[in-house]
Amino acid sequence: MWRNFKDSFIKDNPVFSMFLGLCSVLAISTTFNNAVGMGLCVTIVLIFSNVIISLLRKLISNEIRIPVYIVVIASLVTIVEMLVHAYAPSLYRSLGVFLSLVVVNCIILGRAEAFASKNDVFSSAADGFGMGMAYTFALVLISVVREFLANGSVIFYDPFDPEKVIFGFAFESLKPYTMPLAASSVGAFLVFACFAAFFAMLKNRAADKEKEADKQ
Amino acid sequence: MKKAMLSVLLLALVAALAGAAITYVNGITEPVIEENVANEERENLLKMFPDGEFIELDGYTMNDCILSVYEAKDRGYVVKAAAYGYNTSTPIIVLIGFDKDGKTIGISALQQQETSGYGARCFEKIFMEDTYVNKTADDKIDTLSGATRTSSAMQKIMEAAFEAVSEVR
Amino acid sequence: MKLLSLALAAILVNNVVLTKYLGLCPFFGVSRNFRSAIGMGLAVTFVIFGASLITYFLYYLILLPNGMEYLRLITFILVIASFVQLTEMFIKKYSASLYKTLGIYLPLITTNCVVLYVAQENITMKYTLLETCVNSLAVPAGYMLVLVLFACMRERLEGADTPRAWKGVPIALITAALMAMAFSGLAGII
Repeated sequence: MWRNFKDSFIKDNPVFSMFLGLCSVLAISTTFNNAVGMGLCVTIVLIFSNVIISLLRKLISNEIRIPVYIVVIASLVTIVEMLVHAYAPSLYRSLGVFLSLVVVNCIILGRAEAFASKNDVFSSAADGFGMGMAYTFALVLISVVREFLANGSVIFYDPFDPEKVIFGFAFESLKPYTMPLAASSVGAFLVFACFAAFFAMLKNRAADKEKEADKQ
Repeated sequence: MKKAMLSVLLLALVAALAGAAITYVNGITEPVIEENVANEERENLLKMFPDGEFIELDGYTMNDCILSVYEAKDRGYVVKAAAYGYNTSTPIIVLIGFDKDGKTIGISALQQQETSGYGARCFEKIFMEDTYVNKTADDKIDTLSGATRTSSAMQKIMEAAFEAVSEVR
Repeated sequence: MKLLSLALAAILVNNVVLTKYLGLCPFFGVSRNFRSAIGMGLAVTFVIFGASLITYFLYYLILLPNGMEYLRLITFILVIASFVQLTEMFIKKYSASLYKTLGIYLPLITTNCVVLYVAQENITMKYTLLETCVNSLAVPAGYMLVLVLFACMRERLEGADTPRAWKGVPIALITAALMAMAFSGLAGII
C-alpha cells in the first residue's frame, strides 16, 4: 500500500510521467495559492467520484458506464464549484473557467475507468486520495518555481479570507531580476518541460538499475 | 431487451439523483453568493465615498463600456466601466468617482491583466491619480507612451464615464 | 468588422492551445504526423460547431427560462458526450472512408476540454447566435492550425538526436514554448 502511494508520486506520477490533466496543470500553476486550491478541489472530486463509482460498479452495465461516470463527475464538480464560489470567492475568481473544466480532467475519468470500476470502496477512496495528492504535488512543484521566477516571492493566502497571509517569503533584492515570462504560457511550457525531463531521467535510471540487477 | 431497459432506467435514476443533489446545494449556496457579490460591490463603492449611501441609477445611454452607475446620496456619482486593452481576453474594469459637478475625485482598477512593465504602468497609483483624478469632461487626458492600447482603452472608459455622468446629473 | 476581429482573436491572439493551455492531452498524443493532425482537427471542428449550437439553444430555450442555470455544466457535458457518440455511429454507418480518417479520434474528443470550453465561453461572454457560430468555427480553426504546424515540427524531431531524458513529450513541450513565444508576437494585430 505504502509502496503504491510512493510510486504514484514519483515513478507513476499522473502529471509528470503519464501527462494526464495537463491543461489545468499548466494554466493554474501560475501561483502557489491557485495550485493548492485547484489540487484540493481535484482531490475531493476524485475521492468522491471513486467512492460513488465503486459503489455502483455492480449495477452499471458496460454500455452505459461512460455516461454514468460523466454524470457523477459533472455533478460533483458542479457542487464543488458552487461551494467554492460561495465560501472562497477569491479562489473562485482566480481559478475561473478551469474549475468547471475539472469535468474533463483525464485523471478523474481515467481512475474511474481503470480503478474504481474494478475495486472495492475502501481501496478506491485510497486510490483517489493518492492520485489527488500526486496531482497536487506536481501542481505545487511547478507553481513554486513559476511564482518565484515571476515575482521573486511565494505567498499563500487563507482561501476563506484573502487578506490574511498564512505563510510566504519574498526576496526584495531579487525584485529587479524577476521574469514575468515565467507566469505566461511560454514559462508554463518551459518549466513543465524541465520537470518532465527530470522525472523521465529518474525513471530511466531506475529502469537501468533493474536491468543490471536482472543481468547479474 | 429487458437488460437494456434496466440500464436506461438506472441512467435516468443516476441523472435524477445528481440533479436533485445539485439543486439542493444550489439552494444553500445561491443566497451566500449573492450576498458576497453585493457586499463586494458595496465595499468598492465605499472606497470612493466613505460611509456613503448608494443608489443604482439607469437613464444613461447603454453602451459596451458602462457596467453600472451609482449615485452617492448628496455627494456625487460612481461609474463602473470596462474596456479591452492589450489583453484581449481579460477586460480592464475600473471604478471612477465623480463629485456633484462632474469632476473626477478618485479612480481604482478592479481588474486588469495588462503586460507588466508596459500597459500595467497605467494602473500605478501615482500615474492614475495624476492622469485621471481632478479632471472635468473638457480636460485633455494624457496617454502613456509604450502603452498605446491600454491608454486608449482608458480614454474610452473615461469618455464614456463623463458622458454617462452628464446624462444622469 | 467585429466578427472578423473576434475570429482573428480566437485563431491567433488567444489561441486555445498556446495561450489557454486547452486540449493538450490529445495535442501531444495525436500530433505525431501530418495526416492524423488534419483528421483530429477536422473531427474537433465538427464536434465543437455542432455541440456549441445545440448547447446554445438548450441554454437559452430551456435552462434560462426555467431558472436552471446551475445545471449548465452537467447538461453541456452530457450533450457533448452524446453528440460525439451519435456522430461516431452516424459516420460508421454511412461513410466507411470518412470513418477511417476521423473515427479513431472521435472517442478522444469527449475529454477534450476545448469543446466544453467553447460551449461555456459562448454563454459566459453573452455571444449572439452569429457570434457563437463564428467563435465556434474560429476556435477549432486555431486549434487545427497549431496542431498541424506542431505535427510537422514533430515529424522532424523524431529524427533529431535528443538526450534520452528529453525524448518524446519533454522536447515537444520546449517546441510548444517556442511556438507560444512566436504567437505572443501576434498579440497586437487586432
